[in-house]
Amino acid sequence: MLFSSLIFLWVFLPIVLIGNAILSYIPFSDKEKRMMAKNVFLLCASLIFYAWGGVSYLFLLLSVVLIDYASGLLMEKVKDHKKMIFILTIAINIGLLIYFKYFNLMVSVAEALAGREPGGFGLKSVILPIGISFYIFQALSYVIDAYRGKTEVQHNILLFALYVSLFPQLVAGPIVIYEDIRKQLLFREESKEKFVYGIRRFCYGLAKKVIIANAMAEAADGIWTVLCEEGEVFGAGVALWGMITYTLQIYYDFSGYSDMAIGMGSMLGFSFKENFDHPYISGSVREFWRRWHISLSSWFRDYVYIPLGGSRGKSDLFTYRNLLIVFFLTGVWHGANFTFFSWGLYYGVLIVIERAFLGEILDKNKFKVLNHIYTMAIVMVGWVLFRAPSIGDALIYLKRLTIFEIYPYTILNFLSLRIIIAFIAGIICMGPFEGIAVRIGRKIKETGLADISESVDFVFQMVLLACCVLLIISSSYNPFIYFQF
Amino acid sequence: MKRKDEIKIYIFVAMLVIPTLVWLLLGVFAKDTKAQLDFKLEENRNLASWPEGISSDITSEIEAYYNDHAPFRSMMISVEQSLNSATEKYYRDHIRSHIIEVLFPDSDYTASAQGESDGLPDPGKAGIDTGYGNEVTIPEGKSDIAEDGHTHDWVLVDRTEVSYLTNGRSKYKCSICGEIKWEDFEPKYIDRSYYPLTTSEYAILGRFDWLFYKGDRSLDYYSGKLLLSDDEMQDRLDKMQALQDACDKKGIRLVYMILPNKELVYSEYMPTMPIASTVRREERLVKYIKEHSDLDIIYPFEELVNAKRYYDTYYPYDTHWNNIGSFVGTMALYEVLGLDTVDVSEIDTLQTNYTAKGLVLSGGLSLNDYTGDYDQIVGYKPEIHVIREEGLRDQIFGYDPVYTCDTEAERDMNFVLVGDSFRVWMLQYVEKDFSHLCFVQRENADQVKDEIQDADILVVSAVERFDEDMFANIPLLTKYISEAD
Repeated sequence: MLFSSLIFLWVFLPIVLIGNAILSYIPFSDKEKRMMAKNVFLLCASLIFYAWGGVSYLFLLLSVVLIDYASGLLMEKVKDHKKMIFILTIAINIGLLIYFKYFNLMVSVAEALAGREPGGFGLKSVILPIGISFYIFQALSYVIDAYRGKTEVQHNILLFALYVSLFPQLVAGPIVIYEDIRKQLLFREESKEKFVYGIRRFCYGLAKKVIIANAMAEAADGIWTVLCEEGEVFGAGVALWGMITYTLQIYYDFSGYSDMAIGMGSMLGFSFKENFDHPYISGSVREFWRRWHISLSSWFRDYVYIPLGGSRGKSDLFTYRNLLIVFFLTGVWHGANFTFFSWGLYYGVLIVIERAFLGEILDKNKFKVLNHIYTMAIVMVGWVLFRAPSIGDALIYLKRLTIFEIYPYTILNFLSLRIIIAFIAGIICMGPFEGIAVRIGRKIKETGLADISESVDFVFQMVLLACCVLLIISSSYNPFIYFQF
Repeated sequence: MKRKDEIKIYIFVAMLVIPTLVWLLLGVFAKDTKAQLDFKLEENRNLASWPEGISSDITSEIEAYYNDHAPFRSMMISVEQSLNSATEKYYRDHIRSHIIEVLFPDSDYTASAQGESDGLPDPGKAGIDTGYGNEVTIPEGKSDIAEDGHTHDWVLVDRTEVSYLTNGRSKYKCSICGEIKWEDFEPKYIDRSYYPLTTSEYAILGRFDWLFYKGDRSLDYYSGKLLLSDDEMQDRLDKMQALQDACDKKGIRLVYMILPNKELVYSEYMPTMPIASTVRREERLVKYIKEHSDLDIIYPFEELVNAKRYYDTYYPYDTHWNNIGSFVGTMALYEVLGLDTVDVSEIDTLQTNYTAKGLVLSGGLSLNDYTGDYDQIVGYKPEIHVIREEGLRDQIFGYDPVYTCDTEAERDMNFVLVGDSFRVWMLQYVEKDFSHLCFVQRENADQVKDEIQDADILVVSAVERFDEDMFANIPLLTKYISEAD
């Protein structure tokens, strides 16, 4: 079930919010019982949410829950075999992830190496269960922290299941570390303030996705479709427009989803950590990765980079090795395609270069705008690699940036009023402009117009919500093309 | 503050819940109002029904049902389409034109040749163009003396001024004998300025609001990408010949009709796009078939283009030919059959606002923005009526895959046409000349095997973009005819 679907907005979400609210008013004998009732309710809702995408995938999720829950208990009880249990659990989780995510790629590589046609081995394709990368990493964080003794083992399977499957962050993050949420499972504070904050995050997140990201996708997808189906029929202008629109698309899509997750969590009393911190104002690649998909980069830092030794080795080469491994794995995590692996390595190499010498130059550079330009150029090129169906296509695309002849396709082929408005909104809502808005907001509060501005802000949120619903409903319009007969 | 937060929460939840509540209440207490609000959109399909039984796809079926029956769906889609259509039209007409003036100041947009040769002989010219530049010859004038010797008393009955949408021409009718002549021709203006290719769902947004169909590889047919090799043409000829042989054995007169795509006939309204080859696929195929066989095959491209001197032959907002276009096509068929024909310049017509706008619907556009189009009702043998009919025959809003009728026509013959939706417009003419008709959708030919086997004349027809479907269907027809006693 997508957050930006009508059935989620008009059926699932209101049932969950109202159900959760009703449980706040039912007289339970104590707070803990009330919280458990809410947790059971949320767990059921989350499992229904996930099963909506396919009941068979639910069994996989529950299996992961069971295995990792049992692992925690066993590691606590059977201390002699703690390491073995830990290794086995990690192997099972990673094994599941590798099987579901990378089996098809491995088979196609093996077929190519064996000189066979695609499908030549006669093996059935494995369907990727939605959200598997997120919830397995989430569950792994628990197992690792439990092994290290950094968190208490969870004895209540319902609470553990809720942690892994909580619907706001189940399919698209943020990846929540168990220790960050452990206490909230039983002792979270719901308040009207948090709820209103959650509404704000949710509405803006939905608008980011439905209004901005989807419009940018129209342009970016159009350009990539032309490249893949018609070849090199556009020049630098279109190529640059494609890069810009995809850069905005992926940010608003992903951060929009994170905002909605954080917002819904807040409505339910949970506090999730931020997943994005204005990444496109970064002045270096290192800074970019501190601001982009923060939960993932933190996960890799805590569970891969630091265990590998981090930067505590005797030589710089040791650190560089660890950085390359981490970023390569980051690329691998994103998908089963050599483009993702290359994208990860691309950033690994750049991070190493910045660490080696470039970072110091950037830090000392007085003209910070050049740092931003450098970073955005790196990021946008990286997104080409990320978006391309193959490395070859990425290189072809990048080559178009150097072609300044007139071609039949121009930027006008990928423009509409909707795209222009979404683009302007996308630029305004990014980085520096948002900072200006925050400063204006503070000034308004000081002048005593805070109430009015909050009301105006809320009205704007409702208008955005209504616009998003209008767009979502319209996407269900699906005329029968009678001239297909 | 808490009270305000409470109100905000209620408003937010109300936004999510009230549409459903109001819809349910309307369904109980105000069914008429609900029916008015739940008006039928022109989607030409049955909306998803509630799933019967439990299957692995039940959740997606439920969601499809919900999306098709969401509260206030029709209203919201209409609002969104109106807004979208109006704003995008304003953008195209007023904003984009200025951008084009700035970026492409020259009126003629040219570029270096694009497209690759596919190794076929004589691939024609590749380049950038608005199309094939269909030239229309000015018809010869008519004598003022009739065949029976009387001097025509010409009365002006219609005059259109030259524009980008119409030829300038005057229509005169003789008050004595009713004969028609056309004078004062001025070929319409052709806009060759750069007009970017943009689409809306399935519709290509052409010049002067003309719409074209994007699906079924229409653009590939248009840009000359789908030329057939000699072997491929021979393969198709073999199938056609096999059917011809079967028909010959049974004494069935067989004619093949391939109807031009609207994009070719009205290329002056197509956007600027790269042309791989100006050689037309069907023209080349028809030429090959005529050179290598005795098959009767019609491709009335020239006829339809020339008829534009007097009337439009395709709808501006639909992909189909109109009453005039289908009349021209029918007369081209009659010519091959050796029947009397009437030139399109000599027909009596009555203008009607009853038109087809399938591309407005499939483009997600608003009908309010696409008005002013019209068709002609052709006064062809009005004295002959249908006696008995089975099946629907409204060519715009509903027709059955199988339509049969008996008529008062003198020619006591069974006329069978196997084709696609274009066939429906021919009914009104063919029924005047044959006493028994069977018009069947290609995929449903098995339902009328006996009709096909008993045919005196069998026409196998397809619009250009479905020519492959026609060729795939021919062996089945051969089988049906061969099975006859």
